[in-house]
Amino acid sequence: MDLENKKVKTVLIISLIAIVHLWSLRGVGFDLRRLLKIGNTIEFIATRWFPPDWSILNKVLGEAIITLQIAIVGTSFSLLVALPLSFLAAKNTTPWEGIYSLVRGFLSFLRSVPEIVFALVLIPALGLGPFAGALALIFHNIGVLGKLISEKIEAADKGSQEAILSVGASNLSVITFGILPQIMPDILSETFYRFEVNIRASLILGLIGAGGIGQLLFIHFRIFAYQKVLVDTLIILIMVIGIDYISSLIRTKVI
Amino acid sequence: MLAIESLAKRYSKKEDYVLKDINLEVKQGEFVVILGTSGAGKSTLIRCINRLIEPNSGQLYWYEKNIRKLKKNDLRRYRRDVGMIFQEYNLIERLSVLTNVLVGRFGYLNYLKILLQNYSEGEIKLAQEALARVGLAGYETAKVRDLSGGQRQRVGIARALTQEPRLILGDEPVSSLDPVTAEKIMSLLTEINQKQKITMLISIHNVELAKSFANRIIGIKHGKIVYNDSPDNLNKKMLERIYS
Repeated sequence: MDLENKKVKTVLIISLIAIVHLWSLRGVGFDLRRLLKIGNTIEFIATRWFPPDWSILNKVLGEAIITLQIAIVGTSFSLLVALPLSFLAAKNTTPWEGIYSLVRGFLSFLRSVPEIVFALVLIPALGLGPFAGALALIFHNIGVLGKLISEKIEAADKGSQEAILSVGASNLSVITFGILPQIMPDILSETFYRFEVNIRASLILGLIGAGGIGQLLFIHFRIFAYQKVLVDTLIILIMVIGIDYISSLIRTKVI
Repeated sequence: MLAIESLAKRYSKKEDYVLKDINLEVKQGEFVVILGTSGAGKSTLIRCINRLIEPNSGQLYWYEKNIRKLKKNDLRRYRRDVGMIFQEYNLIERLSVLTNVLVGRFGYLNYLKILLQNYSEGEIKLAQEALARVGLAGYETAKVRDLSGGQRQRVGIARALTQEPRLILGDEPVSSLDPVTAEKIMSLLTEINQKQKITMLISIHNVELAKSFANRIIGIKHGKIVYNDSPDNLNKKMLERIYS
């Protein structure tokens, strides 16, 4: 009887998964015959993108550095704001329940608005360029880091906090010495991970005019300067791979 | 020095009382050991004394002063007088031994000095003397995470000494240690008790250890004191009363 039940359950789950996927494939208009035309893309790249136009290399590198700077500012400033907020948004350190709910709600709002939406809203007021992009990253990442850090605060071991409280220390001292040293490695690791994500996000923000190498790529695409697009793409590849490598090295070896 | 009157504690309205009507006096200079099974209420009682846990009813007096009514700064000032050591040592793992010992001064300093680790020479000397006292002279810069269990508890004791307490509370401070180390730590606590006249109130699992080091033994069962006398009178019948 039990075994029978289990079989029925398995069949039901498999059919459910199948139905969800068939439904999704229909939604995206998935068509194997059209997939065969992918050869055209290869031909397009082979004939129109080569040879790369290295004359613009300096300009591309300059814009790549701006992308890097957007990501650096977008990451560090969001950490700076998120860290104090996360203590208000953690059950064990918040001064009172009201602030806890308020800050939690604010953080999840920031988190659920994508960077690109923040940028679209900010650009009319701040104008096109890297500043709007960096600010968009900051807003979204305050939400992301704030949630992560407040969860670490709540999960921190209570032992040393209790000991510091027992000597007659203030709550602020308990936070500084009982919680922060424990969660610091996690915070740094998460921050470096967000930095990697922000590099990629700032490329996308470039498409809507928020500066950096992403914007250059989009401009070259629109004026059909494919030989320049190739240079943009190569530099982006090198930058993303390089930063992912360095960042993960720091996260695993140093922290 | 310490008087506890009809103290009671339960953690929620649905649960039973963990402590029921505890009455206890501790005199200056005593070495009192609390015995009892796991869950008898030893940890709760000890934490009620320095108000890491707030009791539901009853009174606590520290030199005739009611400490249940103390607010913020007065509570902090009272806690400076009462050191505490823990079963799991409760040190800051990633920081140095000296930094951990200086935590004992946190009750005396303002936050800015603590944040900047700006200690006076006298305070650093006090911490170093405490380290020497527990047999860890020269370990100042060692990281806590590199120490053995016995060494960690010594750092815990040094931290308590650095706050210049009159009473040291111990929540099973030797329960995580091997028998030989446990006895060494108990001897150290006895020495501190006798030479520095610091009163000890410590819970322990091991009956033999309690008998050989305590001036007085308190037996707790289901949140009530069932024995309160000299270790010499702790016979088999009395032990059954505590542990059955």
